[in-house]
Amino acid sequence: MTAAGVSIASTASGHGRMRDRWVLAGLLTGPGLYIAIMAIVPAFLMVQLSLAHREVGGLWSPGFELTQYRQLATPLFARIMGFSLLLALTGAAICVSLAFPAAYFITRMRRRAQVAWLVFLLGSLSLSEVLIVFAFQVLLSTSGTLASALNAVGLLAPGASLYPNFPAVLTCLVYLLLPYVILFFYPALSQLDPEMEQAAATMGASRVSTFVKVVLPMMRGQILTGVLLVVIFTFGAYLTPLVLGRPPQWTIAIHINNAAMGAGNLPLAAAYAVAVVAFMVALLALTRILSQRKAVEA
Amino acid sequence: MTLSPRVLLRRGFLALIALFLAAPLIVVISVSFNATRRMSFPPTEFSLRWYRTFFSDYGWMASLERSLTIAGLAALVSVAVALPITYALWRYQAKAAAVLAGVGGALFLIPGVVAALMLSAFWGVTGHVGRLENVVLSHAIVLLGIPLSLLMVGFRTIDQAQVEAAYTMGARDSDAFRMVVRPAMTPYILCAFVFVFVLSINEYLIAYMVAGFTVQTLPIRIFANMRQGYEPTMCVAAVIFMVMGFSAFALMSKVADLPRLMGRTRPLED
Amino acid sequence: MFGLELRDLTKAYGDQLAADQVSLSIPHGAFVCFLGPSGCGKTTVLRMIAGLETPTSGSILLNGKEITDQPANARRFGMVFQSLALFPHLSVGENIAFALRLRGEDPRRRKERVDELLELVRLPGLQSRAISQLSGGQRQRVAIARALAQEPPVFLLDEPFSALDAKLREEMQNELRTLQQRLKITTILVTHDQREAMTMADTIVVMGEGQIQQHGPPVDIYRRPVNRFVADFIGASNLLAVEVLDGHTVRYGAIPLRVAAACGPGGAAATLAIRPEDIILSRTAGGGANEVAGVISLVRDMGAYVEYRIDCQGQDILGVSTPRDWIGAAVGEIAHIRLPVESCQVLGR
Repeated sequence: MTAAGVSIASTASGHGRMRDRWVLAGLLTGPGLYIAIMAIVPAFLMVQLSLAHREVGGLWSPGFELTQYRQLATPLFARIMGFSLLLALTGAAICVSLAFPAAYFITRMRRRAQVAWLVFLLGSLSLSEVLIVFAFQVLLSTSGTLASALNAVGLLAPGASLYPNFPAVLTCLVYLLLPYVILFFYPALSQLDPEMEQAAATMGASRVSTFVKVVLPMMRGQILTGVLLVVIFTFGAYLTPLVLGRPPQWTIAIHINNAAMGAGNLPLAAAYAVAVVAFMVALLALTRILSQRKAVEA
Repeated sequence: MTLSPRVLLRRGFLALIALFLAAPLIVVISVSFNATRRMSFPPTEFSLRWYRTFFSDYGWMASLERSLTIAGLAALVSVAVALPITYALWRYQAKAAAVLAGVGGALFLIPGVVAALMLSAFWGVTGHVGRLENVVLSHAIVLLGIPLSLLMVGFRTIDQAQVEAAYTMGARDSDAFRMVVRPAMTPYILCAFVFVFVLSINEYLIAYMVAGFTVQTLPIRIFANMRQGYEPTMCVAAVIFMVMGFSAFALMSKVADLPRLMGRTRPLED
Repeated sequence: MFGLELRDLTKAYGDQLAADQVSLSIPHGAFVCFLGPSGCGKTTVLRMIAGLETPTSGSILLNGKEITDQPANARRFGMVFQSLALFPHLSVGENIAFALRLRGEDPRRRKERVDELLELVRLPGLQSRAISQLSGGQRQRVAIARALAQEPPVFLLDEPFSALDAKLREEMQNELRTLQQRLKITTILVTHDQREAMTMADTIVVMGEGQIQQHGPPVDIYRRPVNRFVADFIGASNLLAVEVLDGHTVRYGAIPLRVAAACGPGGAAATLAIRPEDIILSRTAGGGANEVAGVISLVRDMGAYVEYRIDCQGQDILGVSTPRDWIGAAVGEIAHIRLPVESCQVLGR
C-alpha cells in the first residue's frame, strides 16, 4: 500500500478521481452484496438465533432470552469444550512438531522435489474427511492388515478392534491436518534467508543449535498461528470423532450438529456456535499477544 | 558419494511422513480392485468388477454429476467474487476492497461446523431449502479465502511499472487490464478455480447441512453408505476422488509456478 | 606461513566452473579486495574461504594448517553478509553476543565485550535496541561488530555496502579501513565497485571468468594491467588494435608507435592500452614520435576535468585534460595527440 500505487491510480485531476470511484463501485458492488448476504447476514442470524425462543418441533420464534446460554454454564458443556481443547492441543503438538521440520526440509529441496511434495500434499489435503475417515475405518478394521499384524505379534487380542477410541480419533485428525500445517509453514520457511543460518555457522553454531537458536525463535509467531489453525480445525471436525470415537470422544462439532439436526434445537446449536467462535477469537488474541511479546517492535 | 547420517535421518523422516500420508490411500486403492465383496487387505484377486458396478449404477452416477456441477459452479462464483476485490485492492488500494478481503479471510477463523450451521439457518430463514444452488453459494463463500489469497499472490507478481508503461503508451484501464494484467493472471485464476473445485467436491458437512436430504453429493452418498455397512463401490468412489484431486494439482504444477503460488517469493533454482 | 593460503581452489557447478584453480597467499593482517564483474566467481571463493561452500578440488590453509574440510562453524571466520543477515528476533546486543553465547562465555564477559564492540563501531549504548529500529548505516555497523565479536582469524565481507547511498558508503569504507588497520586483522572484501577496492585494499585481486586475472597493489593494477580484461574492467582505457613490429615498436594503422615493451613476435596482432589522462593533446603537430592526428568528435567539460574524444583513423580515442591544460578545441577541429612511450602498455590478445 504504497503512496506510489495511489498516485498512478488517480491522475491528480478531479475528473480522474471521479472516474476511479465509478470503476471501484462497479467492481465492488456485486462482491460486496454477495459477502454481505452470505457472510454478514448469516453471522447476525446465528447470534439472533442463539437468543431466540425455542418452539416445539424444531421451530423457533424471535426473542431475547438467555435460556440457551445458561446451558453453557453446565458441567456437560465444560466437559465437551475441555475434551475438544485437549484433543486439539494434543493434535497441535504432534502436527506442529512433525510439520515444522518437514516443511523446513521441503523448502530446502530442489525445485522438482519441492513441486512433487507440494502436489502430494495438496492432493492429500483436498481429500474429503468422509474419504479419510472411511480409509481409516478400512485400515483399522478387525479384518484389516494392521489388526492382523498386531494379532500376529500378540499386541492385540484376536477379534479386538483398533477403533473406536481416542488414539484412532487423534491419528485421523493428525492425518487430516498434517498437509495443512506443512503447507502453512511453507511460505515463511521458504522466505527465511539462508544467509541467516550461514551467519550463525560463521559464528560457530552447529546445525542443531542454528535451528534451535535462530530458525525456531524467528518462526515463533508462525508456530503459534499453526497451533491456532489446528485448534480451529479440530473444533470444526465432525466426522472423525463421530466415526472413529465413542460418545466420550465427541467434540463440540457433533453436539452442535446433534442439537441442530437431531434434537431440532437450533437456538441451542447457535449458542454453542457463538461460544465456539468467541473462544476462537480469544485464542487468536492470545496468540497475537504471545507472538508479539519480545518480538521485533520494542 | 556416501550419505551422511544427517542426510539419512532427514530422508528417513520425510519418507515416514510420506508413508503415513499414503498408507490409507494405498489400502483403499487396493481394496477397490479386490474381487470379493468382503473388505480384505491385501487383496486376494484382481478385478475391475466394482468399477463396472459403480459406473453402471444410476445413483452413484447422479451423485457424481451433481458433485461436479456444484464444484464447477462454486469455483466459478468464488473466483468471480474474488477477482474484482483483489484487483481493486492491487490497483486502487481501495479500503472497501480491503474490508471485503478481510471478511473473506475471517471466514477461515470459523470452524467448519459453525459455518455450516450459520448457512443452514440462513437458507432455513429464506425458505429456500434443499436446493442445489444453496450448496453452490455456500461453498463459494466459505472457500472464498482461497481465491482471495491466490489471486493476491498473482497480482503481487505484476510490477505496477508495467501498467504505468502501458499507460504512457496510450493504454486505457481496460487495455492495460486486457494486455498486461490478464495474461499475467491467467495461471493464478486457473489455479484458484481448480483449488476451490477440488475442495468443494470433497466437502461434506456444509453440503449436508444446507441441502443434504435432497441434494445427495458424492461425499454425502459415501457417508450414507458407510453407515449402512461396507460396500466395495465406496472404494471406487474414493479412488475417483483421489484421481481427480491429485491430477488437478499435478496439472496445476504444469501451468503455474507452484512454489510461488504456495507463498514462496524467494527465487528457487531448478 | 602466517596468513591464509588458497591452493588451486576450484568449484564446479555441473560443467560450469565458478572458480577455476584460484591460488593466492594472503599475509596476516592484509586487506584484500576481490574485485570483478558479477558472476566472476568472487563470492564463490569468499564462501569457500568461510566454509559455506565445499571446493570441488584444491585446498585452503590457515597459518600453514589445512582447513579445507573444516565446516564453517569450526572455522569461525567472522563474515558480514550482503543482506547483513542480522537476526530480527534478537536485540543489537544479543546479535553481537551470539557467537560468545555459543562459546559459553559468562554473561558479564559478554556484556563487556558487547560494550567494547559497540564503542568500536561508534554505536555506544545501543545494545537493547531492536534491529528494526536501526538505520541502514547502523545495521551495517552492528553486522561488523557481530562478525568481530569472536575475534576471528579472518574477517570476510560480501558486498557489505552495496545497499547504502553514495555518501554513507564512502563513510563506511573509511571507517572499515581505519578499523582494520587498528585491529590488524586479515580482511577479505568482495566487491564489484572498483572505487571501493582502490580506496581500501592493500591488495586487489581482479577476478574474471572464475580465474584470478591479476593481483597486486591498487596502483599496479591500474598502471600496469597485465591483460585486456583488467585494462578494460579497471578504469577507462583506450584499447587500440595494433600489430607488433619489433621489441619496442608496434604499428597502429600506418603509424609506428614506440612502446615500453612489446610482446609477441613481429607481425602478431596485439592490443595497446593507454589511459585517457596520459594522452597529451595539442593544436599543432610537434613533429616528435608517437603522434597521431585526428578530428575532435566530443568535448565534455566536467568542471574538475575536461573529457574529449578524438577520431583517429576511424577509432575514437578518449582523452582527459586538466582545465588548466585544456587547449580550448571545439568539435570538428583537427588536433594532434601524443602517446607517451612509458604510458603505452602492449597486451596480448
